[in-house]
Amino acid sequence: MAARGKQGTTTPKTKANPLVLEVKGAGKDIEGSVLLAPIDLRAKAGQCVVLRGENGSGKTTLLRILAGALEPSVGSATFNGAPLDERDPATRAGVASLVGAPTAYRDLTVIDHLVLIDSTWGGQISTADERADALLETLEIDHLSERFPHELSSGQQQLFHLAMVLFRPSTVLLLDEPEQRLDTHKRELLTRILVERKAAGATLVIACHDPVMTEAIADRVVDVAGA
Amino acid sequence: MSERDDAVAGASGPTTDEGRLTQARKVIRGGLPEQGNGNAVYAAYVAVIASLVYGVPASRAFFKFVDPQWLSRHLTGVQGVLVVGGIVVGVLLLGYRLGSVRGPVVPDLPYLDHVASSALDRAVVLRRWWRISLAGCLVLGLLTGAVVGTGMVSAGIAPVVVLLPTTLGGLVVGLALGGAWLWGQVRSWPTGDRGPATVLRGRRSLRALHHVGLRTQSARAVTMGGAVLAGDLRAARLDVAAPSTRLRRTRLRARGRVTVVAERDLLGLRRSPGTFVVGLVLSTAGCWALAHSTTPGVPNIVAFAGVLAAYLGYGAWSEGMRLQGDNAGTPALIGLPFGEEALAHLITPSAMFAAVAVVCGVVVETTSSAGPAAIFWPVAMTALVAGTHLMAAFRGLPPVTLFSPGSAVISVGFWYSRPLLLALIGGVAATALLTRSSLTNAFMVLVLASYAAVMFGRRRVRLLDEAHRA
Repeated sequence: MAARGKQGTTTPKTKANPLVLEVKGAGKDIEGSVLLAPIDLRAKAGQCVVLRGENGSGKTTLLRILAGALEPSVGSATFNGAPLDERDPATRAGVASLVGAPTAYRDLTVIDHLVLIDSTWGGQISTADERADALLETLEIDHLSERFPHELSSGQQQLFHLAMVLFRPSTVLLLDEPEQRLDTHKRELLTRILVERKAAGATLVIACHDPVMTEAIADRVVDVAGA
Repeated sequence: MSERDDAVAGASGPTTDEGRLTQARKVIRGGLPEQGNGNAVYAAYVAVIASLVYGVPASRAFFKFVDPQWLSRHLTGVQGVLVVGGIVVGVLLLGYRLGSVRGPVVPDLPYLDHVASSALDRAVVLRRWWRISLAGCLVLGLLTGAVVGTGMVSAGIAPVVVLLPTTLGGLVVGLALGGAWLWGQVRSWPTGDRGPATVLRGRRSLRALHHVGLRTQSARAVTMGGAVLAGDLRAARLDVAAPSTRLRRTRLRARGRVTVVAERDLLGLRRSPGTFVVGLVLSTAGCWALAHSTTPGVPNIVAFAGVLAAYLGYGAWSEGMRLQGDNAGTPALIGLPFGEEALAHLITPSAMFAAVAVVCGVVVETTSSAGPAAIFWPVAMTALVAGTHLMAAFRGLPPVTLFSPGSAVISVGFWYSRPLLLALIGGVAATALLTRSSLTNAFMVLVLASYAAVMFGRRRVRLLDEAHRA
């Protein structure tokens, strides 16, 4: 693994911010098959770490560990000093992730999903519709709000998944190749949204193969080397 | 094919659709003899043997088990006509619905793409599958009628002559089932010749079948076959489910953390009116039977049918819970913990079932000799059917597949039917105690069975939630 700071992008604000995510020598193997070689990673509030590496190098496994969905075989992964475990309400409340296709109900429309997610996180009931509509407008998919998931194209599905993850409250955002299936304009749009999230103090860890997006959002780039 | 056709075929290829199809099938088989008819005859042979070995004894035991006097009181006259008519209509509706998912005419994909898509008359190209399916329906109806009649005769509740109407009746129902099945397939495509004039008119119906619809059903049949062989009924269920398209402009309203999940399930049912109606009919029938079963002298078969219908009715309203179980292991977006979300999914079906139970109980109590137990007993069943559906929705995949060595079919069957078995055993035993022992004993058995179902269901929820963390 190699980690390096991105030239001229580490802001003084980032240095002053508290450490949110910390991975110390965390690796994962299943019955001798190495999914992730031991790796270190630190991410502070308001900082974006981009994971790079060839297919199968372990980026998704690392993101699953950071989401608390997978326990490392060796080493440790912590969120605000506590072990990452999605059964822990603190982990669930703080960490939002898009690692693989998320839960979607086939009998709910796009806007219904956002309202459901917001309500279960205790969002303000009176403004839920307005906020959901606003996010869809930001992602330029407001015209799809009354469609069911099976009526969306591949790229629209990706934007719908991103909308669901972005709509729930979180302090940490984990995204596995969010640029997948998006056209150039939508990638630029997503980049702007992520930069805004970072500026608002969110911690971002993103596996990304797009050099333009990486250049725009990364404070640090971590090369994940395969086993 | 006639001699003239053969002569023409030898010179410049067949000229009739039948001749061209025969030639195409020869090419497909690579010169090997046709096996389809032999397989169909063998399947019919196995069905006859199974009817004699298992069907007749089961039918005889049923008619012995049920009080003959009670049976003759309820299955003769207008009530008998209504019961038998209801069963026949239910079978035909089931056949019609099955046709939209997997019709009687489902050739394999290469045949569809290379032969059925040609200029040949589709009535000629597809008639082989229709004839085999129709023959299967006729054999099924004939055997069912014969088995029911033989059971009545051997149980000593009817003379031998009853075999004639039951067998002929079974044959007619089999014919109607075949017609309903094919019509369901024809109607599954939204355009074309699909009116009542196509019912039981084979050539017309076969010509109305659309290539894309046939392809969809053929691909689905492969997927479902694989899912069944792998013991993964969840994959089969998801493949069969029709996508929602209704009430898209009706928005889910923002609510409290738990209430919104119940509201979600209600909206899901509003968008699937067919599922809602099926659940309502089954729950009503189940609660009605359970309310009646509280009257002394009513045989246990009524309680059995009641619990079965109640279980199926509640299940039709539990799609939200099953969808959560299907999505276990995906990144959480819902703010509720997995276990709490599962319990929240019980609210809507339980409330609806309890409401139906109260209405049925009150109606039965006021229109028959049943006592107050007719009102609270169906309501008391709510926890049992809810708990067993919690078990069912979060059971995951069976530990063995049909490919596993040993008695895999029985193991997989038992594994899938555990929730239903618990509901049937607990529900029927408690109801039997209600009329033969005391209310306290009956209630204790029902509470114990319900507690076991809910606890086992919650354990399944926890195990499924943690399964992906290995």
